[in-house]
Amino acid sequence: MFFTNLLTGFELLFTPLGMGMLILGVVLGIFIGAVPGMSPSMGVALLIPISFGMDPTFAFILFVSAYQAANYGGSITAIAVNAPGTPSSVVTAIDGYELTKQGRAREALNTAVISSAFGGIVGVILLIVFSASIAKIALKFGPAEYFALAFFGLSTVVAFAGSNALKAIVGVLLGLLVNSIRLDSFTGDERFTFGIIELYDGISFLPAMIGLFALGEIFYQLESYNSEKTKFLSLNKTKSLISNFFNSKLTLVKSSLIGTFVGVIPGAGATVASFISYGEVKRCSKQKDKFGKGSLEGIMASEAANSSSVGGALVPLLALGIPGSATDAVLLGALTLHGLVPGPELFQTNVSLVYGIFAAVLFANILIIFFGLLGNSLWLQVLKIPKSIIYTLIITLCFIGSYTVQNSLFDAWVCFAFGILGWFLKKYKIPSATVVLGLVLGQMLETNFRRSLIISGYSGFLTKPICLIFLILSLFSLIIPVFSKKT
Amino acid sequence: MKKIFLFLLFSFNLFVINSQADFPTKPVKIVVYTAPGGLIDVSSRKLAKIIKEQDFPKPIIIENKKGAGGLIALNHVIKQKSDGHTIFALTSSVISKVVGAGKESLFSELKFLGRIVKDYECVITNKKSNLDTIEKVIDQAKEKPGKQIWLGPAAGGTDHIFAKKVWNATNIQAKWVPYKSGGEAIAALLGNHGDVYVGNQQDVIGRPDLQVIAIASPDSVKYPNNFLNAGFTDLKSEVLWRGFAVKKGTSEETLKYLEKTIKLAIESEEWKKFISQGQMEGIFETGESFENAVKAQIETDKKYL
Amino acid sequence: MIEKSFLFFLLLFSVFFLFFSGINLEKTDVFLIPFIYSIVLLISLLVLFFKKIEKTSEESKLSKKTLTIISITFLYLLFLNFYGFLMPTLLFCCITPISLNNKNYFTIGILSLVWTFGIFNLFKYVFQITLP
Repeated sequence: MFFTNLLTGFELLFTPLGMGMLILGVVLGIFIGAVPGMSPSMGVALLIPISFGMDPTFAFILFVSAYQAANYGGSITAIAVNAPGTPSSVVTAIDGYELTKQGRAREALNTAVISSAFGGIVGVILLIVFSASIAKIALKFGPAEYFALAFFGLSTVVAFAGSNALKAIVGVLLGLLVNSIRLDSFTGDERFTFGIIELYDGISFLPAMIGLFALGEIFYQLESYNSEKTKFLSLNKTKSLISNFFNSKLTLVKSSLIGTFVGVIPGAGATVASFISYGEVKRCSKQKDKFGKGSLEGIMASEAANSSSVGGALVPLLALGIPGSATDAVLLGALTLHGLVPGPELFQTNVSLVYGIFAAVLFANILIIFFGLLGNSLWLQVLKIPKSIIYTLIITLCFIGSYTVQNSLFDAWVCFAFGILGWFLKKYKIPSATVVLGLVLGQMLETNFRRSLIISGYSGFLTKPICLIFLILSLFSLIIPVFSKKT
Repeated sequence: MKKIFLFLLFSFNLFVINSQADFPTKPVKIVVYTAPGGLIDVSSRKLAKIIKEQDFPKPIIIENKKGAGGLIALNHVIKQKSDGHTIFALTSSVISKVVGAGKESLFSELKFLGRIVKDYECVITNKKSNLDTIEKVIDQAKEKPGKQIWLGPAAGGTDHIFAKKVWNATNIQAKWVPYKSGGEAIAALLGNHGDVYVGNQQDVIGRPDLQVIAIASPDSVKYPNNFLNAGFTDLKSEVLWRGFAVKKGTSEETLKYLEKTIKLAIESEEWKKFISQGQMEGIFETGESFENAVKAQIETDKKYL
Repeated sequence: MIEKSFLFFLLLFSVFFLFFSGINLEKTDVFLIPFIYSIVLLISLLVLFFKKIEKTSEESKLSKKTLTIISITFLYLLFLNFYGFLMPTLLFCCITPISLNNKNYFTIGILSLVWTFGIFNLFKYVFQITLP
């Protein structure tokens, strides 16, 4: 029964329209992911008008392949120019761009492709086989558990700390404080907004991140700008990819699993997944010191996780009708627009759609390998352009990307302000990733803490098993590095 | 010289008049105050699609401007020209949020065009809890005053205010725990992290674990479990509505054109199917009637916020 | 010097938050968590402030190049606010490479035109997003 359904899905995929949508989705998805400021959710939303009039199955082949590809696409700009195209590729930028500076961009880019595809495939396999059971676990996550998960995410800051833990803490706190600028969602009180309407929903994350990473890096690099050495990228010989992967197969599997499970939890998406995965992989790695200075394992951790989170996020969408991520919310809307009822009923009323989605996500990953490796050769050529021009183009792209998030120029200013902050952070050696961590997890941490307090008071945190597990894991994450340094 | 000047002035006037009469002259934007995927977004996209298929002469683009419960979108719309090319898609929640932020003066810059969907507010519970009637909910609330958990989207919107109205009418004290979106709150309800959820009938479609236990609709025949039947006449009719507004000062011709276009769209089969599928009620209330309803809502909201 | 100034700026930042959370704390405990963050931040910053920092000559100065580009970028944004996307971007794409000592004026010119108009139309027609 299951296999016949799966076969039906594949059959639909391997029709001219199906393949057409798959290819279109992957290509557009990669592009959308690569452009900083265009998020996967926005990308899928942009594709909705194209899908009107199409059979829903083909529309969704388009959407989910774009969704999967966009999560990969972010790594391209993250690695090449330190401008993460999607929030989930922030972590990829950390090691990816270091590798680019070392002339190993090709290795980094290729690693990202393969890791993304691997993660994506693991994610969709788990989705296909285990969605019902995984969904049940996701439901067990209440406010206390979310708080603990966010806390655990924050504890991975030690992985980004580099040499100075105190500086990392400063970074995280900066992110947390900036993130608290908003209208309080519980009471509606203004918090540090001073009547500025654009701040009511907080400082937009994407522009801030783009500013911190891309602009900050450019401003920093300009300090040592030498008009003679204008080529942006020099390429060294590439080492064998295959042996790299074989040695790190455990990393890939672990990251993919982490990514899928974090993706399943509604509200925790690809970005959180990539941070947690990176933290975990670094903690267990035999080459800890390389992380942050150009570790291929770091890229694997991040990319496998953010890609597998797509399959994970589809679990609550298909099994429960609840969005597991922002892009899921768009997919839900698309289902409604196409006259379908989201939720477990889909498995009865529209089996071909569901299995079409499975097949599409699976094959999108294979196409990602193809287009990714092909594209890499292209991007590498583009990077040979003189720095003066590349810097200019990136700066404009940053502002454009920031603007497109909400059609707001305010966001472009946010990007600029964070660019300056990013520059100083680099000078003072506070890793920007720590600030991003605070920005990403601030709300999840605080709102769930307060919700849990309302529902079950302080004891709630100590009596719920999942919550307790994550809190203990967090403590380990924070304390163990301190001990290992002392020995 | 004078003749040439007069001729130019005349032609210019003609040009201006013609431009105003020739609406639309460029793509029309519907500004939606949520991220893509929310119900107002989906409704707007559906309507836009239908309007386009009914040979609307220019493209219709959906522009998402989320933030501050609609304040950012409202602010943006007000800054545009009053030529009818920017339409604000709003819901009753936006009215409440704006009132809550103390910025209801901004509404004087809007011309409320019409509302097209009415969605009755519902009290929803998880079938796995034993709260299958509103009476049981009330009893439970009285057993643990101030500790019963009501879930829903951010504080200050229609759902929150409805919850407060219910507490007022049923004389109970409970706690509102807000989530970023209805979807997240529903997830919490499915996982039994709360007792009650406030939403609309659409929220239980496709979710076999959820049930509507009370609905604020006056139709006691269609909805035997409405508040009226349970004896709460104060909660006879509470709706979340969805509609459109444009900037004040838009010309009468443009307004009439827009009204006509929307009316044509909501009379289509596709729209009717969309409405019935979501168990919403399609209406078409324009002009003064709509404006008065908004004014009344603002007054009520002030009492509860 | 730069590091100390930056730290000082961050200190001001944390004090600012501390102050505003503090005065509102009596009214509502919505400000409790930011208050705690700002206290911890303040303490961490003070510890860092009084630590010794290795001085390297290059890092003690603010690079002129960076400041130039930042100013140009600032002006670009300002113009973007008032004059829309096309002209300011065109100008920016021409001026910036030149100020970075790129002498291929012709290439710069062509690239600016292609980039500016290309991006604008790409976003307008494919993504239906009109840049300002």
